[in-house]
Amino acid sequence: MFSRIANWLDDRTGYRRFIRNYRERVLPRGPSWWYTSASCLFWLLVIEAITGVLLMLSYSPSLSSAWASVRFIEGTPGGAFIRGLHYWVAQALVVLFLVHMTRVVATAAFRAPRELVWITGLLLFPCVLVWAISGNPLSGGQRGLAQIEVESRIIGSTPLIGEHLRRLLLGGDAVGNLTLTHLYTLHCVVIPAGVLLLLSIHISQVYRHGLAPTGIFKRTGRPTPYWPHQTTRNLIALAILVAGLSYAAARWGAPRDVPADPELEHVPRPEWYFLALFELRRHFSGDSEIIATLVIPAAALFFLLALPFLDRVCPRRVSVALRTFIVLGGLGAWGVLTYLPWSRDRHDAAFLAARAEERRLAERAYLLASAFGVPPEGGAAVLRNDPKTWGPILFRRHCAACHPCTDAAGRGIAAEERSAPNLWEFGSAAWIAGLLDPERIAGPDYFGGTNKRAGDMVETVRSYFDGLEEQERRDVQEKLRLVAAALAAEAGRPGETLSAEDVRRGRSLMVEEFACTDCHRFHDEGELGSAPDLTGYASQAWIEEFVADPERERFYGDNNDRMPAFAAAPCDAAENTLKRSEIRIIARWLRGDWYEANEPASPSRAGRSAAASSQ
Amino acid sequence: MGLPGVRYLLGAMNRSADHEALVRRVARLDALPIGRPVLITITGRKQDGWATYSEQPLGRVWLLRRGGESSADDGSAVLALSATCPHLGCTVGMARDGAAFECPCHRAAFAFDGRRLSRQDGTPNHAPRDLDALPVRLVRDEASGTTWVEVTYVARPTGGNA
Repeated sequence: MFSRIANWLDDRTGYRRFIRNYRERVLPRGPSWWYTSASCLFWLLVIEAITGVLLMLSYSPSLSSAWASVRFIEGTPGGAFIRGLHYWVAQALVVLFLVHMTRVVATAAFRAPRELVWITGLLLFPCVLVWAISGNPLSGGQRGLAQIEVESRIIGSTPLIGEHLRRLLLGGDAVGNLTLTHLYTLHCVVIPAGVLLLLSIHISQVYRHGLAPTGIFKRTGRPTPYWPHQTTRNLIALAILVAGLSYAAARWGAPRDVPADPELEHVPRPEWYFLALFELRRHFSGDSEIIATLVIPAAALFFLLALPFLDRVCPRRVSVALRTFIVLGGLGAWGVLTYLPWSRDRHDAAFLAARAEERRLAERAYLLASAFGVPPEGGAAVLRNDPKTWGPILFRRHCAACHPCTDAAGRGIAAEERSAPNLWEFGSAAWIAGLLDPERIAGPDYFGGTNKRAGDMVETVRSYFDGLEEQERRDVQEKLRLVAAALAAEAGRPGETLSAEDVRRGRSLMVEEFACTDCHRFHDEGELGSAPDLTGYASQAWIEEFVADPERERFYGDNNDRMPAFAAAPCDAAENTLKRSEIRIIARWLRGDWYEANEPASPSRAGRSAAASSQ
Repeated sequence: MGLPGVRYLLGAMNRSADHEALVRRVARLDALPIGRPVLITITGRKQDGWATYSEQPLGRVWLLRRGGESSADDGSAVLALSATCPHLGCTVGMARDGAAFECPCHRAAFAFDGRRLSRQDGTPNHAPRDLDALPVRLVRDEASGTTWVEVTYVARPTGGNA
């Protein structure tokens, strides 16, 4: 029954001839583990194609959707493994290519009649590199997009056609949405088509002319059939390789990048296989840089392409010397040029710190995305809506000129020219107690740098302690501690626990004993105008309004010292220094109000509430 | 199919700059410390392929307020330098010692006035030209009495002379 189907098929397609061609392959001097590189390369390419297609099912190439869709893939069952395998196999492809080329050069397998095998094989290497260049930015992370920015400018420096090539690649004159679609098309269609063409010529030529003897590695050995001796070696080598790569994919996976954002600090570096060129260009500058980026690589490529023909005119000894020079010299130079910048970066503390910070941000982005999802604006919005990430950045930019935010050990954000109160744990019972401490209220952490250091509040607080004995001072301190608790209850910092009894007593002390409401408004007592409103003191809404305009009657009014209004005009007008959403982030950060792992991911903990998303 | 295909590809190449020269109020004069550069981001409307964004970062600028007296309308009180390195487009940051600018990509160093500096380890400074200076104007808002720093942001191509 089967033989009849097989006969029918063979009559139509002639498939038996292909199988016979394979079974008739002869190893001129017996099998060798060196021959396995070819088979492994082929099957790794097949794995890349399969994992690639699987990834394509869920990936979306645009600046706003790239990072989000990659994160989505990482979250799907098996997605992280598939993506990890795609990444690790790609790294292995580069290494295996070099191994394969080394073997071919060392054994002079490029000699006639196999020149076309050599040429098509050699041209496959730039294809693999372009695959890598086009693939890395697709993840939408800082790393890949910074790389394509620099790489496109290197292409742009090519004489005459450089600028046009760059624009064609980027889809304009800057990296944007079209850049990702162009890279995606290159990566999934153009390069695969080129590789298929080159590979089919390459393999058919190998079949036609047979395998070259492995020269220096195996001088003896009798002709042996390829199947099953070499085939088994191929399969064993492949199995070991794939097992190792699968382990890497499962254990570490592909890099999880921080979402690309031009306002986050990043130190760009090329991938490891380009570090040699990166190092080479250090020694050229200005107009001569093109020697490192274009001339040397092109010259190397043309030299290697011409190798079969050069070898033909060389006497045997020269040929051996030449091939030894190419293999040892080429690999050696490449190895040294790769090691130097890697080693330099490894010993650069600032570089390592920057990379460690990026890893933390990437983890934070993944954590927040798992908890709250990714908005349509894309990955960058995940971190921009996060008070823990973006709060300090905004604070440094807009507040740290005057306000420090440092703890007792001095850790945190120092002020440029310190003059305003230290906002570390602002609105906590401890902070308020410090304000009500006569020793500290006029000190550098509170009013010391402002016009209030000789003002009514300082006088009043000191007056509570005037002429008192040790025990009486402690009583007053205890009462002020209760007042601080009452005000901290107004602030409502997340994570602060206050005793309801303390708060109640503190409130009555404020009104009765200390007469705070003579100057301050506090719920139903007191009036606005002479001192800041204590209702909702240091709460989210209070801080937002204060930062928007401290000269409102509700706050300092005409007594404001130097703090500018950051959003005095209504509705995010152009005159405002900060947008309302930015003030909200700063306020949340000051209040310690952000999401941490192991909390329930309720919408109120998200970096931005749904209702206020338009501001 | 050939001719429209070629036009489609060429169209991809010839897409013009995503934005023209932008004039932006970027900072209040009194918010800038004297003698110490501040890095700010210029945002604006951007057409990116099929999408139009209303507020996208378009470029980053170092602002340096110089000491000494200067009249209100004279832009010389503030120096604005494009933070895009003229070598290969990375964002130029602050050097470790805080006394100069340094590009993290190939460590080109620039003085605070934008001039290229030679590097201590002897390797060449890769920048083909100094940091691009941008036109600056001081604008006084009569209503609020604040003086704003207004920068005209222009993106120049990297490499060679501007």
